[in-house]
Formats: sequence, C-alpha cells, structure tokens
Amino acid sequence: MLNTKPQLWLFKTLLHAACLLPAVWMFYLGAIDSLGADPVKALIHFYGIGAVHCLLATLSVSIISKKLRTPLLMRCRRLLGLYVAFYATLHIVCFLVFEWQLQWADVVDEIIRRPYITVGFVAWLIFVALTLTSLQLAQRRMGVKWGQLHSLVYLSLALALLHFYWSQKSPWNEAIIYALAGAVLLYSKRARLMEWRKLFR
Amino acid sequence: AKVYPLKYRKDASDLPLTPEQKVISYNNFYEFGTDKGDPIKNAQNFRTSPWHVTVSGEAEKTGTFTLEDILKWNPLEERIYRLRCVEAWSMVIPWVGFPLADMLKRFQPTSKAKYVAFETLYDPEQMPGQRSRFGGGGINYPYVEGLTIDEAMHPLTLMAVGLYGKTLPPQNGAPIRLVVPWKYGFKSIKSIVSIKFTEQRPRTTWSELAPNEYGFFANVNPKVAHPRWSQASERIIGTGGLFAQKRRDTELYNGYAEQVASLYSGIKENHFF
Repeated sequence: MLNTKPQLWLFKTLLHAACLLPAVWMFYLGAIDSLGADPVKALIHFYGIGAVHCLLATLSVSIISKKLRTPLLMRCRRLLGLYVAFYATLHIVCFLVFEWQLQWADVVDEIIRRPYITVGFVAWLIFVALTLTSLQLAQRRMGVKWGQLHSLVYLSLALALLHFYWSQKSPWNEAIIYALAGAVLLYSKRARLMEWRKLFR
Repeated sequence: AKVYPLKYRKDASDLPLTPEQKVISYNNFYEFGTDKGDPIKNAQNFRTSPWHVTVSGEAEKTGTFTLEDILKWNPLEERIYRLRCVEAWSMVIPWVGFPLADMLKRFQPTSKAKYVAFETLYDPEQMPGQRSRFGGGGINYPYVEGLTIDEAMHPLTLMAVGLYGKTLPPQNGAPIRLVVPWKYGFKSIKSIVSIKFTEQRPRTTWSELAPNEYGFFANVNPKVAHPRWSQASERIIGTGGLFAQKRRDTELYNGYAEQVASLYSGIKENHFF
C-alpha cells in the first residue's frame, strides 16, 4: 500500500475527509441543538479530544511509516499536524464565543488565573507557531532554528495531556488513558528525543 | 424504568424551565458512569421498588421504612428551583417532593442530633460505576453527604420524589433524593437509602475525594472560585443550540440569600469552598 503518488493523493484526500467532516458535522448538530443537553460543552470537548487524537496520530506517523516500510506515509505528517492546530483553534474559539459569550476580560482572566487553562493555551501557542512555520520555505530559511522550534511538539503533547487531565472534575478520568498513550509514544521515541537535545547545545 | 404521574400542589414560580429532555439526559450520577450522558443509558433497569430507607442515630423513632410509608406522611408539592452545579452551569427544575424537615420531625431527633448524614444505595450489580475505581470517577462508594441539622430543617430543603409532575427517572436519583437549592448540586444526594442523625460532622464524598476543591458546606458563592475555575457566573442549560446560549451572574447562595444567610452567621468556614 501507499507506493505510488496517486495512492498517496487518494490517502491524503481520505485523511482530509476524516479530519474535516466530523468537525463540520458536530458543529451543525450543536447549532440545531442535537448535541445533548449542553451543546457547548459537548462541542468544546469534541474539538479538544480531536486535537489530542490528531497530535497522537501526527507523532505516530514516523513510527508506523518505519514499521510498514512505507516512506511515502511521511508525506502525510504535516497534513495531520495542521489539523492539530485546526481542532485546537476550534476548541478555543468555542470556549471564547459560546462558553464565555465573547466576554474577553473574563476569558483573559481565566487564561491567566487557571493553571489548567494556561497550560492548554501555551500548547495552542505552540501549535500556532508550528503552523506558521510549516511551509518548506520556512524550514529552509530557518535552518537549525526550525528543528529547535518544531521539537516543541513534544512539549505541546505533554501540555495538552496535562490540560486534559486537569480539566476533569474527578482525579480518575479518561485523560489518564491518553496520558499513558502519550508516555508510550514518547518512550518509543526516546532515541529521537536525545537527538533533538543536541540541537540545543 | 417507568415514571408515573404524581398528585401535587403546583408552584407559582415563573422561572423559565430547563426542558425536561435536558434535565433527564444530563446527569452527574457517577454510580451510572462519569459522562453526563451515561446515567440515562445505564440506569434504565434500576430497581426502585421495593425501596427502603433506614433511619438511625440520635433520634427517638428510628427504623426502616418503605418508600410507600414515607410517601403517605406528607402531601406532595412542586418546587421550582435553580440547580447550580459546581461545574458552573445551572438548570431550572420543577421538583416534586416535601420539605425534609416535615419528614425528619417524625423521627424526633434528640438534642445530640447536630448533623444529618445521608447515604446512596450501594449495589455494584446495578450500578456499574461502583464496580471499579476508574469507572466511578475514583469515588469511595457508597456516596455520602451531610447537612447540619439547621440546614436539614430549613423549609427550602426538599426531599424530592419527582420532577416535571412525574416520579423521578432513575438517572435523576429515583426514587427519593435531596434537593438543597442554595448549595452546589453535589450536596443534593440521590437514591437515598440511609438517614442518620449524628453528633459529629459526617464524611462527605466530594470533600473526601478532593478536600482542597470541595468543602462540607459548598454554599453557592460567586466570590469564592473553585481552584480550577471561576464561580462568578454560570451558563444556563436552556432551550436552543450553540447560538442561543446565555450566561448569568451567579448569586450568593444561588439567589436564596434572604432565606438562608442567617444559618451561617458566625461560621467562617462557609467562605472556604
């Protein structure tokens, strides 16, 4: 599988559909009040989890690509990474517009005063920075700095998972499973992480 | 489980109600799962008959009573209350029940009765959340709650057996639950099987799980933030989708300050969440 360019093109189209359609469909359900008793919370949670799913998928691409011996798969990584930023941005927009009804002062106050929101916000800033430097042109121009910047993706994973865990009412919640998945992923990339470290010397 | 229509005296309040479908499908009842959509799915075969409530502790007339006994004691009335969840949302619900005070007086509490402790049914076979620590949000079951005797005897404190004119659906705490409108929702314990008059302050589930986040009193207070989020305002669960959402400023004692503030004169701990 995934040995030719048309196959890659088809696969990318499917990935776009898989990432884009649920986001639009859930928004539609929320707008017509068919997303349970609290469409706002449901949508914020869906987009937040969506960002985490995309992030875990993005970081798994290199592992899967190596395991399946399909180097072309690596060409899908940026696409998935951009959807992390897409979902995280929808997550924040819904928080701002629907949860807080555009009361900017309150939202700024929440971001500064609530550690779990601060942590999530920093993760989002990283996603934005990575998105803005996602073109190959940026990679060429930035040189070694690009590698340094994009190594922050591992930090963003830790921050996003901490934000998820911390946002739950009870200390025993589904975020623990995601944290375990994240830990396994980071562990399997430990060699790579050591390489990244050299970039900062 | 089926619900049956009840006979009761109507409440004249004109607060706009949260739609019934939302009241019965958005529940924090970890015994049936930690997602608010879980209880309506997992509680439908919950057996509420026969049902017994054991009354014990510092009172003259203790014993075990059937739900039928209890329902005979007092006429039912409707109370339209705003339920303010500690998660910063609120619903307006037409409960049907009777003042807890009317029930408690029958048992003739002694002068040693300083608190009233309540307990939810413990039945892991029926309640999947009680089967594992993870499935039940880490709570050490059975769920327990408590009030001071003055809070329990306050005329606003309701023993609810129904909502929207019918018996309680299982996910809302059938067949009998507490409703304390000036406190965060988790104080209003569901599916009660035990009431105990005590001299010492009883354990309460959430304050035991996270003592720095949930206190014994848990009175609604916009000025005392939860350590992880603000309590200054709340989102109203009402009709309509994303574009019909509304927020309101949270009121001290959830708007019932005039009636209940006197209960707390001199209690400083009240201000510690």
